[in-house]
Amino acid sequence: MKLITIIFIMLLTNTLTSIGLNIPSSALMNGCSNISLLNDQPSAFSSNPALLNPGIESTASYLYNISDLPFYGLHINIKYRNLGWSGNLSYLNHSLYKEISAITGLNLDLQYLRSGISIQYLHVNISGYSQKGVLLINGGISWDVGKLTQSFYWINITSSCIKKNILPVYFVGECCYNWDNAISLAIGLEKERDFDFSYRFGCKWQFFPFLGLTSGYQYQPERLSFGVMFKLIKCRLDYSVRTHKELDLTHYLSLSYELFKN
Amino acid sequence: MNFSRINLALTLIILRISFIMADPTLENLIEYEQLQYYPEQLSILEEIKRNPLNVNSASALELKKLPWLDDTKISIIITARTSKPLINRNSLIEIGLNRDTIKEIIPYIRFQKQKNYAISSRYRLEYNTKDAATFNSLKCYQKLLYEYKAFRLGFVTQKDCGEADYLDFYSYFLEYQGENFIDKVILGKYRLRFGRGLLFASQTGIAKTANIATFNRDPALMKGYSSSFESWDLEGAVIKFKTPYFQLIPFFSRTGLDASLEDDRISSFREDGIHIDDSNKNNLIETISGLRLIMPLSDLKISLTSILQNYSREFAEPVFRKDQFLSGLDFSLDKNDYIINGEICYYEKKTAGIIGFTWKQDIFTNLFMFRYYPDKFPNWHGKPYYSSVKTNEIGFHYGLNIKVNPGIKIKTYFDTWKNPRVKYWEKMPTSGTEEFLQIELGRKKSKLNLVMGHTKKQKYINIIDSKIRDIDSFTGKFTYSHSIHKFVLKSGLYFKQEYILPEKKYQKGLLFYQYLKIDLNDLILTGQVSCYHSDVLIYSRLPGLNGTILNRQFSGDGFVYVINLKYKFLSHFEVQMAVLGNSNKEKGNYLGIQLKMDF
Repeated sequence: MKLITIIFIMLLTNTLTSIGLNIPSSALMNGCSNISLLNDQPSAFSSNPALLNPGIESTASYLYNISDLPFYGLHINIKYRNLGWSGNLSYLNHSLYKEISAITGLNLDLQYLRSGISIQYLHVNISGYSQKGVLLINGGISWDVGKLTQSFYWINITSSCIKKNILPVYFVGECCYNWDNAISLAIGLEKERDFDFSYRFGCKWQFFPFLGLTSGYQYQPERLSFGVMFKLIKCRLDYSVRTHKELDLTHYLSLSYELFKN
Repeated sequence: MNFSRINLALTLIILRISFIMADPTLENLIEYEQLQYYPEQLSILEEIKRNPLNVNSASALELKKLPWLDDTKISIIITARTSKPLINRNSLIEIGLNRDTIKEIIPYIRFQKQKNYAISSRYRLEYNTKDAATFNSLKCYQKLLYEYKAFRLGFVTQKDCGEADYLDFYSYFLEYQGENFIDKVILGKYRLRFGRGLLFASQTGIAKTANIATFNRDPALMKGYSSSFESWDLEGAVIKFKTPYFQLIPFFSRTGLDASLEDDRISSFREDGIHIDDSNKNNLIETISGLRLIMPLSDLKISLTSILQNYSREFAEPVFRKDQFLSGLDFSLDKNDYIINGEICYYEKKTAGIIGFTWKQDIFTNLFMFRYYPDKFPNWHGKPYYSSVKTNEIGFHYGLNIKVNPGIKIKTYFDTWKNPRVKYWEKMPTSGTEEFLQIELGRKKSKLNLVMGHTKKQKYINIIDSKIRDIDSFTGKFTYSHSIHKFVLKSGLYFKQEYILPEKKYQKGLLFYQYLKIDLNDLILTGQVSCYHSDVLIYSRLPGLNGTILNRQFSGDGFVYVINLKYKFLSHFEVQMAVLGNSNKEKGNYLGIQLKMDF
């Protein structure tokens, strides 16, 4: 009952206060150039199945500040010993285009090496044209070398198609240097099929236990992002903003609750 | 409350049983730690470490020299090896030795089969989806080696995709390894590698490498032809006579070759070995008679080689005669601080030569190397210094290796070359320079490798568009590998940029890969994903089947993944499967299966 109440409050709060939408899965991802290694929240799994942070996270935004493009997300991660389970749901709602994405998967944590695999069901509804659902498989690994954490993940391993068009296939390599418990610096290299490589840089600075900042830069296409994190006991509120070359700023808001952590 | 008491009682009982049933070797372990070795014992162990005992043949008295083995363990080893030879660490675990004992004795033992015979066989099937429409699209390979005392018998067959005959390529040989005046005899197909490789070399010659030790490694080789490369094999007989003062190697070969013909004359030799159309198969008979004399003089070794080659057809180039006589002298002077080695060959008033001088000082190793290959010098069996170099080249190479400490190694070289003769058409000399730097950081668990190379070539034929142009290229490779228990993870980034001078434009390419290896002793799983976006050809090494080369060059946009599974079972068998998936459908997907059996 307690859990259901928390989820309900979080969804309601986000829906009421959301002021933007973004492609990344959460405000933290948005604020650090979509580098999953800097994301210590449950939403990290939906990007990189190797990362599983126990808790519940709810997100909401308007894509490029367009009020007709609301986007909601809910992420639940549970971990028992070395094994973790994740369930993620996101919903993009436009009068002409609706997209539901449901991701579930498992994660194995071997202390220095983590790996995960997820199954994603993507349902697309183009008004007056067609409705189509497709299954995708994503996988990732992450490992630690002292203060360095590296990760590689592959989105759409199966090269799944909708109406004979291959959905985007991503290969992402990331590397994060944890300077100390407060500062993390990360770089990422993303390759989308049929597109050139894209480079990302991000940093996270938790200068107080209850307050932190994130920033990121993406090259090709060039995008800047900033974010702020507020933490109160087990609850956390993240807000971030990200630029776009042609479109308006994207604002993002996430609320999360840490639970089931070992 | 009752449950707690029962739990406590059960725990106590289990602990007691565990204590009673404890491995008696545990006591021995404690004893080992308390052992105080006398200097005599230490020197014995040092001696054994230098010459490890063969667990399959060492006597009980010899095994007793190892303080970790008591009478019981020695009798276990002796009993076990009579029924089945001990082949590795796992064999010792299987017979009941504990892991700690094995860990201690491993540096002092070796696993050499104590038997008169050995049978080794390998069967391989390869298939590529792009060849689906081709008749007989499977590529098949088999190798069977049988050893009996000093004799070795080999039989190899290979059929490429599109070939109908399963014996399209075959090799057979009988090898005898003597101990007296006759050192070695090979009948059948064989391969030779002499000196610096100007007369007889391996397939690729001596590669252009930053590792100076590779250049100085003695490449001399004389063995039965068991390779799957369908070219450069010799067929006939070779004998090596050995005396304390000299070695003599007479050899004879008569074999069929594939040649491209122009007006029934040889325009070039074909190296691919693919015979979809059998009309050109073995359309040329090559006969070679040769003699090699080796004179070891303390640190200096001088060798003289003479060969007489006869071809059944005339050459299109009048410079090459049907009957060719080539002679060569190669030498190697190996001192502690420096090594000088080289080879000079002579054919029809043309002289080709290569000489290298290696000089070591503290952490520095230097290599100065000079090479000269005249135009139209026979290079079918012999390969010049670098595989892509044919003939008509004069070049200088300086290499420097710095071993700062075991964890930091720097390797660099500078190479410059020129083709003095007109190469493509009149008044178009070709020349180039190459600079290379490699930095290796890290030791066992984590390794970082950074490679940078710059090449400038004049009048170079670009492979993609076959145009002749000046080119200035830069390559960078960054790889980082890390081992965690049974996992090996490697990330790599290749970058290549070419500046094409007449058009004044840049072309670049980038390839990123992630490699993962899981080693579970009998089961080894390897996977690699590479993605690329490149205007130029960019190279990637892929983990293929053992004994095959699955290296590819990519251009355009796409990705490729390889999954390689190797499983050892019943101690003699090993099955391996490699799957390659490609986003580019034209290049196709690949499947390879290999079975290896060793008895």
